[in-house]
Amino acid sequence: MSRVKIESLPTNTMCDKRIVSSLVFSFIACLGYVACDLYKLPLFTYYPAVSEFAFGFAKMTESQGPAMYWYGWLCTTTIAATIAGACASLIKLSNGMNNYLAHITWIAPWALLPLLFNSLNYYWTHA
Amino acid sequence: MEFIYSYISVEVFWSILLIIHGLISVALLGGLTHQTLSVLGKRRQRGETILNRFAGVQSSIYTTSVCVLWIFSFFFGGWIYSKYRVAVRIPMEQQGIWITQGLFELKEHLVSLGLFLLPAYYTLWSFDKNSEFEQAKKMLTLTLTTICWYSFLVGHIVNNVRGFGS
Repeated sequence: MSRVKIESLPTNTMCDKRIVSSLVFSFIACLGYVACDLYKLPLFTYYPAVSEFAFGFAKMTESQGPAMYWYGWLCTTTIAATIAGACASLIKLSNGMNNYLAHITWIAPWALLPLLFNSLNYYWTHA
Repeated sequence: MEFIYSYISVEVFWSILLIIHGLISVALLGGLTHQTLSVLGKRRQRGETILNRFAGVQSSIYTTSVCVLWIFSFFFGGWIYSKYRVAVRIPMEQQGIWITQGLFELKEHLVSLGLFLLPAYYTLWSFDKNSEFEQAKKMLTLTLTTICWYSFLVGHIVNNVRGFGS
């Protein structure tokens, strides 16, 4: 006789979608943020000294002062992760895969930490 | 924002924002630490020691507060960051305070990752009774708490570099 495997929670499709999309959002956002930092992919550049914006990656200029990319990275990452999360909500994963994804999500920032640390090498070696 | 400067000075305005950011961070730190100690010590009996009392709370009640406080703290931190870039970082570069700057930049990266982890954190805590996520939920909470403690301490150090109100 074959045994029927009874799936544990979540049984509700909406709950399942919510879990998958939020986990994928968080995971892709972590990857995306680090990619934006490493490959200089801000949606826009902000010049705080003169309160001006430029589209995409723009360098510091004499007249505009220092350039900030952090706000732009956050926007790029949010857009990419939202699209990924929305697409992921269409996928039905098993509970085991959901649990695997949950573990990957908390591991991601720790795994990416050396890359972030290395991206700030300028500060560590300048001292 | 120019109209505000006719009532208070620029320095006072940014100091007020910094204090609000700091107060929200203290509340966030308290909530996350309570929750983390609670999930790490679930088998511990409620007792008379201060640690047991600190950890002997219902961990799930902090979830929404943590998310709201993280977003508010991030908002104020992000706002202050534009001022920091011009008024604090440039003098720090001139003084050669590189390591502190690097630690602060790392904080900005980590709090951003923490912000992006909030949907996963909130969802996992929403399914509190689903024991299969127990370990992932615990580790995710511990990750956010570590980020929060690191950010709080580094933020405090950077604030002390040039002194209050400077």
